[in-house]
Amino acid sequence: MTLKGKCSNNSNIMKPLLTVNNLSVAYAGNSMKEVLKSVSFKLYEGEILGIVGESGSGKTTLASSILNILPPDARKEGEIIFKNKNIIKMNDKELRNIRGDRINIIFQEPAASFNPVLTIGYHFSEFMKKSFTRGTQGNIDDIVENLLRRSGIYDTKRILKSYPHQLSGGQLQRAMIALSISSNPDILIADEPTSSLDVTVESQIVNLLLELREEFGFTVLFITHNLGLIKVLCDRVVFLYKGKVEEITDTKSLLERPKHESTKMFINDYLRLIS
Amino acid sequence: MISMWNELKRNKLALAALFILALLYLAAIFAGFFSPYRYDDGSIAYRWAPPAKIHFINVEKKIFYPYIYGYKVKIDKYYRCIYSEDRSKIYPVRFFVKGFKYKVLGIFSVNRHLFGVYGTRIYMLGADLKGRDILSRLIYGARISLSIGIIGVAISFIIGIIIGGISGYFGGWVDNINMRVVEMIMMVPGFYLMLALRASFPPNFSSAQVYFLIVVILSFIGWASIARVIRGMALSLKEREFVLAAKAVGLSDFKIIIRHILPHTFSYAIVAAFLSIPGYIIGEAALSLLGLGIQEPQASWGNMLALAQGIVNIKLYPWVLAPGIIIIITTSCFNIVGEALRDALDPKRKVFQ
Repeated sequence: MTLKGKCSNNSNIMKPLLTVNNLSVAYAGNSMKEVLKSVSFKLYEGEILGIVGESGSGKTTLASSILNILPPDARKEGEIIFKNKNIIKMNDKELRNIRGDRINIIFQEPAASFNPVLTIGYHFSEFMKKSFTRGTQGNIDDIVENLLRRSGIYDTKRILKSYPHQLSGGQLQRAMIALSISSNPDILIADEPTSSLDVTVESQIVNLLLELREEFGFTVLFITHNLGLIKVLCDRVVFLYKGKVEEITDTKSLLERPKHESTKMFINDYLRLIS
Repeated sequence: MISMWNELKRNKLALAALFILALLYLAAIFAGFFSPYRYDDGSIAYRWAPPAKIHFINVEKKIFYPYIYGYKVKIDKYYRCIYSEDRSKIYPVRFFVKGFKYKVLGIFSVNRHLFGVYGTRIYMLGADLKGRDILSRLIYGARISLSIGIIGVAISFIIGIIIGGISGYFGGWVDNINMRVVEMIMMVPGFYLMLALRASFPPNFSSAQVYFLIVVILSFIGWASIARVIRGMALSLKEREFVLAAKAVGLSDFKIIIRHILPHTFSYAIVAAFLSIPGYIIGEAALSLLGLGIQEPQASWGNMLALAQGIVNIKLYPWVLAPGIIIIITTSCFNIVGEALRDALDPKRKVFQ
């Protein structure tokens, strides 16, 4: 509430960090049904942009297409401009430099996004080796420990030695957040990062995200179907319905004066559920 | 790894099989020590000599240690040697006797052997048509037969796992091409493919070349089925979220395959490797049996078994079947251990305990 983004009012003046133009995605099976239908929006520097929609409205597909990690047989059209370059058209090497280093993602299921046969520490060192080959020198162990502390994990030695199944969902998600901000990315995509966690942990994780954002200054693309989180977190909201962008507006006007039928229905259903 | 061993320990049959395999490999490694004679050391005077009878007690002469009698030979009207015991002289069986020189592990030159006799020849499992000791040849043959199993499996699993992983992970045309090649190999019956491949090389290779050739041929046939299974596993693994996460942080495809996909296939691969070693041992034996593999005087279980091809030989000299029995024992041991491993690694089994 108090920690909201800085630029909700003057977003028109600022240069967009990421621009999605007429993005359409279709998967190969399913007789080429389009999951995203010419989606366009802009992500401005420093803001928290929420992406809301029902299940199956294409939120996760949108997140994956920004990193271009869709299955190779998916058909992609349109453009995603990041630093004057189209991510859709990039070659592997350029993509690898963007993935993880400039844009990073946190997945829904923290337990599933770590490899079960490798320790948490291995995940860190693997990522560090990839991201820190040039530039930042210094003791990688110290950096990792610092980040974990910063993310609310204090017995770092034990956590780094443990396997994913030995830790709780909250610890894993904290570790995941620490891992994804370790390369100091420009954009952090949070793909329903709290939907598999209970409410207490959820609020801790959300607060952590906000604190870290203050400190590291990354831009957040927050994907969720939880309107409560949207209200607390986001400056602006993109409402997706069946793969189409129905509304792009600031959070307040979306919640108070929804324009489209689908948005109204979604908000009403949500309110009925929590009351 | 430790829990796997604990599971395995409960299976007594598998432990026994593992013990037998360990003995066989030990004998193969220290072949010179365990065999009383060299594999090519024969004497025509002892052709088709039967297994020696070992006596322990002789009350008249007050002997209470193992000893054997020499052979008395009579040639019958078909020019066959008929052996009987020559009771006039006693040859004690001694341990750690001096014999031919051999090298332990290829370094130390030693001439002591586990057992032997002075003055005559001891044939624990009889002799073949050139008077060579079948036991010694079995032990020397184990070197070839047992190592071909392991080396062949290692090579074909490395190839199969890498190719399967690559096709499963990348999919698309890479997968298509790889799988069509795999199907072409699997389409041809293995044994005929093996014969055809062998026939495409000159017949007069040296032993080392033939050994290498057999390994290559067996691996060439063997990798296909493994690649197929690993591909299937990689196909399902690449959809898992941690692989997506690895991709999302920008790891290279090579690293994702090696570190994030293939380790998940290893528990299958270990079991499958154990269960497919017998196939390689039998493949080598089959080639050598037909005279296309290891050549005389080098011993391998296959070319020793060639003596047992005629019914006359089996009728008159049943000990030529010894290599066949050893092949049966070895392959069943590998199967028993492989199946025990499969049970030990099966997560569903723990429900019952």
